[in-house]
Parts: sequence; C-alpha cells; structure tokens
Amino acid sequence: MSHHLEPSRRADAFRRALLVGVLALALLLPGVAAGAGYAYAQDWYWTWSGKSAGSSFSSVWKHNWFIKKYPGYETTVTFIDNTSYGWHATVRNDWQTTPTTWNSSAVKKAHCRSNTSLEFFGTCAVASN
Amino acid sequence: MTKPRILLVITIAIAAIAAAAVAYATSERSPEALVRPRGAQDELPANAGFLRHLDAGSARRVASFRLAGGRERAVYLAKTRDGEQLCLWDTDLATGEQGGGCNPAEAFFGERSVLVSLGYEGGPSRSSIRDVRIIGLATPAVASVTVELSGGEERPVKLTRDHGFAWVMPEADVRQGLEPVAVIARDESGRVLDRRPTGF
Repeated sequence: MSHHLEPSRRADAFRRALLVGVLALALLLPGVAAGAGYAYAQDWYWTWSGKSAGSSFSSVWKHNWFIKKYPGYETTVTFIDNTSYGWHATVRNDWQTTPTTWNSSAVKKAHCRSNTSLEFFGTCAVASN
Repeated sequence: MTKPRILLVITIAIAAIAAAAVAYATSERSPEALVRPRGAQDELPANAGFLRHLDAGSARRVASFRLAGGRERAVYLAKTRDGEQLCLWDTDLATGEQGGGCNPAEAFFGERSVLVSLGYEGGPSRSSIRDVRIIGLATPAVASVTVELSGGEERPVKLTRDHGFAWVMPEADVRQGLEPVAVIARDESGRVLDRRPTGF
C-alpha cells in the first residue's frame, strides 16, 4: 500500500500518525516493560531507504519488531552482535508488523531498517522477553 | 405514517441491505487454514518466541522445512491475542525462535494473491549470508508458486494443502552468488496473479 501525500496534507497526516503512534506506545510499552523489565522503542517518521534505528548493546535483548501504521512498507529487523558485527535472525518483509527473536546470550543490539523511499510512520521496538 | 414517509423508510431499508450485501461480498474471508480442524501438529512449541502475544489455540502449521544444517522449522499461522492481526511465523522447533510478519486480520491479504517473508542468518555482507529462506501464504486462487532467481531462472515451490509454503535456498546457489529476487504466484492457467519482490 503506497501513501503519497501532497505536502500540504503531509503535516496533518504526520500529526495524526504521531498521535496514533504515541497512543499505541502508551498502551504497548507499559505492558512490554512490565513483562520484560527492559524495553526500548524508537518512534519515527521513516523518510528514506536505509534509515535505521537500534537499541544499545546488551545481552538481554531477545525480541525485535518493526510496527508500521499500514502494511506495504518494506523493512528489515535483525540483531547485530558486538564481536563480528554480523547479523542474526534477520527478517525482511512489507507486512504491517515485522518481528524476529534471537535467543542468544551474546551481547547484541536490535536493529531496524527501512528499505523503502516511501514515507511512513513506524516504531522499532525491542524487549528482553 | 404518510405515503412519502413510508417510501422513504423502504428506500433507506433497501439501501442499507444493499450496502450490507456489498460489504459482505467484498470483505476478505479468513485464510482457509484457520477454518480447518486443528491437529496435534498445529501446536506451537511451548518455547515459541512470541507465544504470549499469540492466541495459541488459533495456530495452524501451514508448512514445514529443514535448513541445510538439519534444523527443523515450521511455518505457523496464528491470531494475536486481541484478534486484531494474523501472523505468519517461521519457527525453529527446537529453540522457539520466530520471525515473520503480521497483517490486519480483516484485510490479511489486502489486494495481494501471496504474502512472503524473507529470513536469513549472517550478513550484512552477501558472502556471509546463509540459511536463506522464504515463507509465505497464498490465496485459494493461486495454483502454483515459484521463486525467481537473479538471472531470471524460476524454481518451483511446493504449496501445502493450506496454501502455505517454505523455500530454502540451496547452498550451492548461494555460493554461486544467485539471489532470490521475487516470488511469483500463478493461477491454474499459468497466468501470473502476483509477483512479490523479496527485497534480497
């Protein structure tokens, strides 16, 4: 699903998306944090292919998921270890939510990346269990 | 009630019935796998990564496969606990590690004939990538699925009775530098219904 908006409507769309995102996070994160103890989320307006976000390095991270407002935006989620900086449990698709888990006890960071030049609102969320 | 009012009420009632009929006709039905009876093979592993976010009782195993090293994995279709989304999960049956995707339950396929998700280990440099696999689910209209490799060659993919599939890229192909660039879905006549780039 593509969403090309005129510039004059983009600000309104952004504000609406931001509100939805903030509300979603307000609902999502307490539950994640309560169950996980550790949680991280990067709430962004993703504007170019290659734009990325990620958590700090830690051994606790286990789940990483990219939540988009709509399906149709191709994104990648993965974990990057702190020794080889290799990628692990990588998933790439254009579904509304793109999730992955990696059970390793290695020190790693969660990494989310947009693979589309289309603009969209999305959240990169990470949790420990 | 006057005659004009009666006519107005009848008109509104007819319009409402017509709108409901159109909405029913155009609404997307759940994937057939979710409707069939569940069996023991449909149970999600107890250590499945996102188990607490899923309605485990809704899960259906729609495909199974092995990676080159022998690790057994399965593809599950399951609802989230709130019923808002349907998820397709590539699941390691030993570790419970999962990856895949979720779409709104009321428009799972949207306008598409096939949904696909790419997974792999290693990278980001292409030379270190291994265990490349594609999982997916097709609509009932799809009769066959192929994976299009860089260079244009197509490899057939086995569709299960649930119209799920899982394709593991042969290590020999990986070593030759071939890449799975798209998944193509065709109907019984061979007409292309959908072509989904993998992003690889």
